[in-house]
Amino acid sequence: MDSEIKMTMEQAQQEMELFRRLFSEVRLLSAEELGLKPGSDESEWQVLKACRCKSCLGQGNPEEECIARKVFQEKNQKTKFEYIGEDLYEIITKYVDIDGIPYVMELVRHVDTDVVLGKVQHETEKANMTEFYDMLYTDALSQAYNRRYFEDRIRKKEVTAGIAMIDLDDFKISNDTYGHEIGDKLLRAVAATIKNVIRTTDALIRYGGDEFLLIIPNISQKMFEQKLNEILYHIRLVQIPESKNLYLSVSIGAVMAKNQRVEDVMQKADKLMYEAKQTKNTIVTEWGRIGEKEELQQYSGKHQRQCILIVDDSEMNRAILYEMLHNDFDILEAESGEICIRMLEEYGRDISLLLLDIVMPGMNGFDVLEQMNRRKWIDSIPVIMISSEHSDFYIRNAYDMGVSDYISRPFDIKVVRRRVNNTIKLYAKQRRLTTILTEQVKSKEESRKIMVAILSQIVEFRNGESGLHVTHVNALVKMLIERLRQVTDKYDISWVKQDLIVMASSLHDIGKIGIDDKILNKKGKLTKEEFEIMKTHTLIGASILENLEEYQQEPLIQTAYDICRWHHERYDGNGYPDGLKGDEIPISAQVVSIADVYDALVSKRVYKESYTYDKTLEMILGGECGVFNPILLQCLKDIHEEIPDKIYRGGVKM
Amino acid sequence: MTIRECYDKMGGDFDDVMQRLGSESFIQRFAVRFLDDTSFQMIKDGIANQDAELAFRGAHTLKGVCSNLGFSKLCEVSSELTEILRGRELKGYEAVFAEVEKWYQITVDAIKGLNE
Repeated sequence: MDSEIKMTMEQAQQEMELFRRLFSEVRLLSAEELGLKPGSDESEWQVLKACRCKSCLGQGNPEEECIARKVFQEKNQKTKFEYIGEDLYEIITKYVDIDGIPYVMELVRHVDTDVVLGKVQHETEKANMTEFYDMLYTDALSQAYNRRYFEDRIRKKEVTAGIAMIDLDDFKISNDTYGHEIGDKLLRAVAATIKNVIRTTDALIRYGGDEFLLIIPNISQKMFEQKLNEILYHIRLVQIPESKNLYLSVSIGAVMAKNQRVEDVMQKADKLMYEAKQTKNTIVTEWGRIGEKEELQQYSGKHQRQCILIVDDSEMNRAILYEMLHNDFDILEAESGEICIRMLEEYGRDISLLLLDIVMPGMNGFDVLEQMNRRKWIDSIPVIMISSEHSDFYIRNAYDMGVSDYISRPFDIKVVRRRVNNTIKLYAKQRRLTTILTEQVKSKEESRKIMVAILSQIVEFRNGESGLHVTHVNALVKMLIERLRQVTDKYDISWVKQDLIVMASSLHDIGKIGIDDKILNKKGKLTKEEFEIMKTHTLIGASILENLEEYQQEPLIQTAYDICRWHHERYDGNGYPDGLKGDEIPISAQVVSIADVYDALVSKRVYKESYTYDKTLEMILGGECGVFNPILLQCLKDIHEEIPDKIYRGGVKM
Repeated sequence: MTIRECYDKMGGDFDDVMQRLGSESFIQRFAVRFLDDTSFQMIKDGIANQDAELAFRGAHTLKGVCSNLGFSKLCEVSSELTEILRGRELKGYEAVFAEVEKWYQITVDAIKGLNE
């Protein structure tokens, strides 16, 4: 029986929209409209006035046996056929609870008497109804059954079946990192994978966000176990093209039901699922844990045991810890702080956890922590201090220096195991997240670089150049800025800024796209007029970027604007287009201008032969190509010897 | 002698250690290993060579080991000694050290009795 259905007004509206495809009248009747008012007892309703349901209205007078009222009070669903005048109507009334307020949903349709009689029409009707129910009961996203199906058809059903709750591990993380679009894809992939393993007669229900309920009727425990293992296995293999590093896994809680109500047994399955969740990628059943047991390995992504380094000068203390942990972990031991540091140098992040004593000869525990902070190891290798020092001073100090936990002697073996496990898991999760994020950032960065490269190639292609100019300017700019940062912090160039300038330098000549071919690729010297036109490529480039209104605030666009517009300015004010002087010219443009000139001189062009590196340097220093910032000239001198090797090796000949 | 009797003899707290370490065989194994522990010797060497740092570390380690193994009495006196030596000065420790020596001997004897 279909009882007490809770939904939100939004859900109710959606559902009613669906019903309207089949029913001519669909509406909600409140207590008020049914002419009822609450009695003294909450469950009792008193008749206040006439009811406004379809049949009462149709008959012109309230009925003794109004089914709408009955359904409202009994919280169930009833259907009746009713003649109103000449016409026959089918009236379905069902109780619904919308945002905590009781209503009756009334569905009315006119019944053509022919339909009742005709066999063909009957079949059509039936097909219509089937299609309707399919739609009503299918989860639009995953194509599994939806929660409504569960509430209407499954919850109270008595079954003999294998029942499993299946929950996607770390779904929230993937959703937050990759966005909902990918999250949806993952859910679809998971549902499809499970459906592939089961039969069409089995029921897969999307119970909640990332939670699925699986019901496989009349299956033996052994077969059920096998099916679940298959699901676990295949989910691990699911890959979606958008994120190759993302490995999916599910946690499954499973029970066998024997003539039991689904709602009763699934609670047990749910509880077991949460137990499985503690380790993930695991199946927990009433009859024990099955499936892959790779609790900790899963996090590291490697099929090897996690390694713990125990640092204590007392052999006895190390031995006790070893004894407690060696069944679950690989153990390394260090009898002093010095050896500990050497092992960290050697094994690095292969060490999953450090158990560290405080009082030791030579380097003590705090000295070790200081080193770990200085070398940034503390961020990726967790430390648990174990000490018989109980003073607040030590404990606080240890936490201040970044330890994850502090265990005092005497310790409890279970507590130590649990804390060790927790810390490792926490860090493993963090490591995994870091990997995912780094991959994301890298791939975004990569596609940005690709777009910029394509753009600059277009310009080069049109200029009839080899495409190497931009590559060279890029590399020169990078070397110049690196040197500039070493020589002075006058320009306050951060790493991020440096990367931006390098990337934006590829765009310095995009304005040439607006220059006539004949001028751009002219073999001989340009006339004065032609040169004036040529000069406008700086302004054209700037205005192209200015037209990207949406992105005006983007640092890349701002940097590119400066470079496009001002990479032909000169330090003494004799450049173009604006005649800016000194540091009025943004440092990005200054660096690009010198790199641009350098590459033009050492390369062969349609209008000139190439100069040697030394000659090029001499010409620039001598001011033959205009005046540059003396600091930058110094930088160029400093890096000059490295340029041929680093930039032109195999490229341009002397 | 059972392990519990051994603990009773040395003034240890067997119930506590059972609860923390969980297994009798585990406790017995480590009680026996205590015979090879060098921390008491470190205290003695430290005193003999006027090496206060060494004596302090010995006392500190002894205290830690005893506290883990539930050797309560020896833990108590070595803890006292640790505090006296914390300033890394060999001064006014004699009486407490005598206590430590006394309880160390009792403890070692009790453990040796396990095999009988």
